Amino acid sequence: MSALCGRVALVTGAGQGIGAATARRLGAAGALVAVNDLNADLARETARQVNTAGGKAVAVPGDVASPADVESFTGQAESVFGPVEVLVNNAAILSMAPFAQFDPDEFDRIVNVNLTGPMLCARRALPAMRAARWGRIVSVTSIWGIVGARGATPYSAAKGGLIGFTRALADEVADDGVIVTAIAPGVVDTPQLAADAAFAGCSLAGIRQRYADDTLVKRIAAADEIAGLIVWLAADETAAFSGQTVAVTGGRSE
Amino acid sequence: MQTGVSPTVVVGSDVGVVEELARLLPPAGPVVVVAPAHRAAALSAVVVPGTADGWARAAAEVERTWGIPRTVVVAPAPVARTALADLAGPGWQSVLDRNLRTAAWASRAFAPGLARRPPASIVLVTWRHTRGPGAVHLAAVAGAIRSFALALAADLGADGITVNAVAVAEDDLAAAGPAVQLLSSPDAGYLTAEVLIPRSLPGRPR
Repeated sequence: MSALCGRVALVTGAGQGIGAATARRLGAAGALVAVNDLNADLARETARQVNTAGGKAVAVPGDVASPADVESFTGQAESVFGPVEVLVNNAAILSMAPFAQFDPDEFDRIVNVNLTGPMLCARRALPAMRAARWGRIVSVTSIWGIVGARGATPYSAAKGGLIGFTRALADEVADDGVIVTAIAPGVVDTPQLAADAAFAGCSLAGIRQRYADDTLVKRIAAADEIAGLIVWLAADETAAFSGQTVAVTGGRSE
Repeated sequence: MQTGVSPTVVVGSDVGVVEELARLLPPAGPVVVVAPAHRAAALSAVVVPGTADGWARAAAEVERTWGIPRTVVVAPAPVARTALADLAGPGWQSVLDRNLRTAAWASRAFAPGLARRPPASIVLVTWRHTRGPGAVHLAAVAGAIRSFALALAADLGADGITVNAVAVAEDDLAAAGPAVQLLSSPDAGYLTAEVLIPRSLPGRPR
């Protein structure tokens, strides 16, 4: 039996891409999955996919950057399944522009969703995890949070902040049985690639090829293989990785 | 003897560490130990002469008997703490031979087979330099293994072989278990050229 069977999991930003794949993987592992996304239709579609595959899921839409929304959608998850035991901080946004031209409001929005959002979700979920003396928080950061990326200053800053947050929070809650980890994917085949292509001024196929050429394995990642690692980090025997960020990049060629 | 399930091969120059590492792996398929000597009947084993040619012959025997491996795990050899002033040339060279040279020869011996049936993985377990005196040779060989892993990943990436290092404290080999399991799993196909640094319970980062 999977270590996650019967566990209550909340996945943010699970309407598409890595988040949706993670929700499906968790559902297949027997977890009870609360599917969050800003877009309610996308959240419902992912929940439908989990349920159709024989899992159990409910859509809990909302904005991770809004404290009121976080309270609301976490409460919905709790009312259906019980306290959240596994939190996957996946919700993220990315827009690209040279730093000097970045709209300050957009800069703030990116930081709020990508860094403040995980903090709000973790703060809301932690009391129940600590009380149960078991919990898992897995945050999806990015290789750009480690190496930085031209045209993505707020995103890089927020993801780098999430890596530091993971390490510090892990230290705070390890004695309570809560394991906090992060994963830093490289380029993943998600709808987000369209923003990269637009910034680079090339086609979607062109940006895929360019990114693939930059890896050692000569391909970009599928969302499902990143999801598999997230689910692995959410399982029982991962205390050895507490506080760590696992980079999954296909090998950086630089 | 071939079972249809690709074996996991654990190699190294210290049979004790090799066997300890092998026992940390999940019983998902056959685990074959390749080392200069073996003493445990519980694990399938190949004895390798301490030469590059010996590793090649051992790899051939593994393939012939158990099939092409899915994962090759290279175990570290113990490194006794020794002050730099007391570190004679042979001692330094022995540490290099039993760790870096073993990793290099074993990887070279098994890589052609792995490339014939990708995806596959090579996991180089090494020591993590921890505080305290007498560890210059340990630190040197650990750094060498890490960089070797990154460079080997670049060489083998296009063949569908991932290469990663796992660095554990000298007294914490057990921490390597979950990391090796992760890197051996089909889900880790995009995880390459990284150094994982697991630490044992209580889970508090150090």
